[in-house]
Parts: sequence; structure tokens; C-alpha cells
Amino acid sequence: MSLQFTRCSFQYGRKVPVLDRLSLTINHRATVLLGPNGAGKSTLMGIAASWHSPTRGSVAWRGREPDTARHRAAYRAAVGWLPQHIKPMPGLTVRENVAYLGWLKGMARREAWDRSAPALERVRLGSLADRKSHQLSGGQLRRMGIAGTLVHHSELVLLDEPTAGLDPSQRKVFRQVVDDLLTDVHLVVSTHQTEDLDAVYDHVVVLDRGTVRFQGDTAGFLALAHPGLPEARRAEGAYTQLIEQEV
Amino acid sequence: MRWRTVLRSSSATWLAPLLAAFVAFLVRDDLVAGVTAGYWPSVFGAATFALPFVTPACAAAGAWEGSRIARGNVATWAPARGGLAIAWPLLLPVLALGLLGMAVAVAFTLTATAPAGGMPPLSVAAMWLVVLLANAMAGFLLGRKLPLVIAAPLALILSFVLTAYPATLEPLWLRHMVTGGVNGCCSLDQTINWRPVASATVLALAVILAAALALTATGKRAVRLAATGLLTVGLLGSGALAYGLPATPTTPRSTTALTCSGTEPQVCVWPELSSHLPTIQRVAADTRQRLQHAGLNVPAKLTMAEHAGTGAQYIGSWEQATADNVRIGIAAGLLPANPPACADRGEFPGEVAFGPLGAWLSLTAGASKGEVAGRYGQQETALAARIRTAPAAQQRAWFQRNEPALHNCTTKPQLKLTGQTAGGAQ
Repeated sequence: MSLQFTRCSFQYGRKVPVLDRLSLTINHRATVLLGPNGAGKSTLMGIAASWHSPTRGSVAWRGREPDTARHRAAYRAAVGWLPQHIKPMPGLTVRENVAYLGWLKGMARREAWDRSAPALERVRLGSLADRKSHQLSGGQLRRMGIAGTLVHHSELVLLDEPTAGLDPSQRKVFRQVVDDLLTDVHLVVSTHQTEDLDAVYDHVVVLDRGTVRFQGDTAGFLALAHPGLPEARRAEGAYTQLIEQEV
Repeated sequence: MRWRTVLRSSSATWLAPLLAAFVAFLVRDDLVAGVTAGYWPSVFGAATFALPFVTPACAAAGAWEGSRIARGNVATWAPARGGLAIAWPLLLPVLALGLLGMAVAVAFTLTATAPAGGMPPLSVAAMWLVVLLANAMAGFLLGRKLPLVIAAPLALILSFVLTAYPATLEPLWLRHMVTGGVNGCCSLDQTINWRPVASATVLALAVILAAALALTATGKRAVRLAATGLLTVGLLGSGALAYGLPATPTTPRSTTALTCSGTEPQVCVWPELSSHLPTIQRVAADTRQRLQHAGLNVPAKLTMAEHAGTGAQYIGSWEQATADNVRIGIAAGLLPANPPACADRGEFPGEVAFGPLGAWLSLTAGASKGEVAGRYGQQETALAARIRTAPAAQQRAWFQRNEPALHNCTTKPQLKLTGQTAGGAQ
């Protein structure tokens, strides 16, 4: 029942390695991955999605590794993935895009189409199903992407910076969507946002410069904050404490 | 993606009416010119003229679809399907677009002449299919790599240049590597030569395989090397098959296809004319009688096979079973088909005798003056008509005196008949 990174290293081209022999096991229902810019969050999420292949080491979900073409297809079908930068397939409506994402993940055309409508309802985009995807706002586009991760039978959903650039009302809708997701999938979300952290996630991983600074339950993470901080600012305080310690 | 979605969103869908209109209005006249009536290889051969116009449409549409994959950032979604599986549904409408373009071309060549029987040359249709697919896939790859505004026009131009331009280049066989060398095919006594068709097919298949490899696994050095190797092998194989072929490579049609009828004369025609055989046979018998009456020896077997064999005479490979075609064909068969070999090396004085002798034979065979003039020229026919007014013995002597000039380069023809003015035909 776990997402496991074993001695994972990764570098873009000949640049400095982003991850260096990182080992991490995530086996909770809802995990948030925090870290500053350049910490390696998106790279780690990309490896978890098997979009990136680690230059060394391995990743496995429930013991399955994306190590051969066949295994990779099965792995990718089981892992839903929302990349940070979303671009819809040109020319398709919102529902067609969601069905297409399901088809990309190995579903039959018909099944993907049939499941696309309920998936859109779950992310509160049912009313926009027939709209052209390029007419959606940034937040709507992300929810369309989440619907794409739900349309196929994913066991694990990875969301990379899903709330970046969203206004407070869109973030609220997003939190509701995430709450709903947790009823049937495992979730790993990378984000900068620390608000409402304890309300959504039960596990926290803090990554900095390619290494894990913290891993533990949400209560343990919040306990790192200065005791004098108000409740609403404790997550931010704990995060700042961890990162500044290192600096 | 549902097929309905694929069709609705494909660039091929809105390009289809444009391409069909282009072929219908701008290429039509060239398509129907020179189609051999009722003969499938010619219907498909003539339709191949549209190929250099249809392939760029496929390449551009392919580039458009490839750019959709790039613009949609499809790879970042970590798809479980492979690159080829993702490309295929987008390429199918593009292939259908190409086939539509060629179907419109065939529709026009068919309206010019509908074959009554026989089978369409499926090898040519298969060659079109692989050439269209190769262009679509190459365009698709281009679209994945370059921005749409560059990829689509570049694919269009490159495809047109690579398909149409080799026809203007020397050596002549180069053109067959891209269009299969069937454009000029075929008169009834010819059939499609498999080598140029195979040449274009081999090169297109190599492009398809290399593109499939590039789509399946991108960015790996081994894959790039393998794709380059495939293209090299394809180029060499295609070149080897086309090497040395003339501009219009055809194969003589098997004489087993001939349909024969009657005796004295027995007439053998290609199956496309078999329904007219009784008429042809009747006209041929009359023609033979006329020529024999004029003192000429006409064999008892008249055939459309160019290499008629002993005791038989070639009567041409005309496609319309008119009385004039039969008469002129039989008459022309009494003359040598080509100038003697010495004509290639120097002066051939007998050249001027071809027209008057041919015209005289045709008129003697009973052909109409207008048709003969159309074939041999006005002045030649006028001269022949004047000869025809002379007594039969004098005409025969005139023919026997001039006919040897067609077989060597030393005999000078004497086309003037004693007591007549030969006019300008000399």
C-alpha cells in the first residue's frame, strides 16, 4: 500500500543533480509534499508519475515498478497524475479532453467517455462539459486535469502544485474536490500552500535541495511551530522553522 | 478518444472538401487526358497524376495533428499508451483524407472511361496508401518537433517538392522512387511494371517504419541510429529497384489475355474490346480484302500483340473499336514499326516516305480521309489521295518502289508518280 522511492537520483541533462540517492516511503491516505522552489518536489512527483525516469534508483507503487514498457503502462494506468503546467488537447471540449486523458491511460474509448461525465461532476465542472477546453480559467483547467486522473481507475493520484496561482475561492473549491477524492484514492500533493493543511492531509513530507527534511504525521509537523503562534499560522510557522534551520 | 471526436476535431475533416475541390477543379483536366478507354491500369495510372498534390495535403494535416500532441503536452500526462498508439487515431483521418483525394482522382478517370471488366491494379492502390501514410507520418513527426506555423507549411512544401520535383530531374528513374512511375501507364498492350511501383513502396515503407520507431521511443540514440539505418536501406532498395528505368516504364501485356475470333482473318484483341470483336472481325475481313486486292500480302492472323510472331500481323493497340481504327491499324501494320537502326547513326532519307506510304495504305484499306489526315498529316494524305487516282498497277509499283526506303538508310524514296506532281510532301 505504499509509494516507495529507493535511492532515487535525477538530473536534467548535465546539470547538478536535483535528487541524489533519495529514499522515501509514503503509505498514507493524504500526503502533502512541501518545499521551497528548486527543492525537487516536481521532479519527485514526475518520477512518481513515471513521467521522469530516475537516472539511478527506482520507484514503486504497491510493489510495481515502471521498469519495462509493459510494467510502465500498468503503472501509469494505476497512477493518476496532474502535472504543474496543464495544456488541453487543442480542438477538444472539456468532456472530450477528460475522456482523452482516460484513453491515454489505457482505457477503452467507450468506457473513458462514459466515465468522463461523472468525473467532471466530481470536480464540479459538469456544467462546462461541452465547452472548449481553451475557454477554461486556470483553476477550471486544473479541475479538468483532476477529472482526467479520476476517469481512469487510479489508485494513487499525484497533484503537482494544483493550487498555484488560484484565487481564494478557487482554492476553496479545490479543497472540496480533494476532500471528495480521498474517499477512494490515495493522494500526494506538492504545494507551497500551508493553509488548512491539517484539515486535508494526514501526512507531511518536507523536501529541500533534494533531501527529506521532515516526514511524519500532520500533528508532528505542526508541533514544530513556535508554541506561541496562533492555530491558523502554525503550519506556516513549522515550515519556516524547518527551512530556516537549514539556511 | 471517440472516433466521433477524432473526426470532429481533426484537421483532415476541414481539409477534405478543400482537397476534393482542388483535385476536382484544378487537376481534373490533366487526370482525364490520355486515359486508355476501359483499361483499369490506365485509370489508376492516370489518377496517380494527383498523388503529388494529395501527399502534401496529408503531410500538412499530419503536421497539424503532430502539433496538437505537442501543444496538448500529451507526454507530460505520462500516458500508458505508446507513442504510436497515441498517433494512430490522429493519423487515420489524415490517411482517409489522402484516400479521399485519390478516390476523387479515380472518380474522374473513371468517368472518362469506365472499365467494363477486369480488376483494378491493387498494387498501385497499395502504393498510394503507403506513400500517403509515409507523408502523413513524416508530417506528424515534424509537427511534434516544430511550432505549428512552421511545421504545417514546411511539411506541405517539402512533401510537394519531394514528390513532384524528381519528375523534372535526370536521371529519369529518380521520379519512380516517389510516385511509382505509373503516370503514363498504359495502352492496351501494356501493363504496369512492378519495379517502379515496388520502388516507391519500399521507400515509403522505410519512412513509415522509421517514423513508427521514432514515435515509439523518442530521444534514444539507438532509436535514432536504427531509424537512420532504415531510411538508408529504404533509399538504397528503392533506388536499386528504379535504377535504369525509362520515364514511362511499362511491361508488355501477356498475350494470353487476348480474345480471338474468326478465320481468314483470325482477329485477336485485348479483352477490353472483346465485346466489339464481331464488328472488328467484319471490318478487318473487308480491310484485308481491299489490301490484298491492291496487291499487298496481309497475314491471316491479325493481332493486338505487338510481337505478333510468324504468320501474324500487329494491328496496333487502339482503344476505340471504330472502323477507321481497324483499317488504319491493319494498314500501318504493313509498315515497319520503327525506323531502321542506321537512322540513329546518320541520315535516313526514307523518313519522308513514312507518312505518304502510311496514308496510302490507310486510304487503300478504306479509312476515311479525315482520320488518315489526322494520323499522317494533311499534305501526306493529299499526296496519297492523288496516288490513289492512278491505275492500280501504277499505285502498286509506287508502293513497291518506296517501301524499301523504310528499311535502310541508302534507298532514296521517289514519291512523285510519273505524270503527277507530288506536292510538298517530299
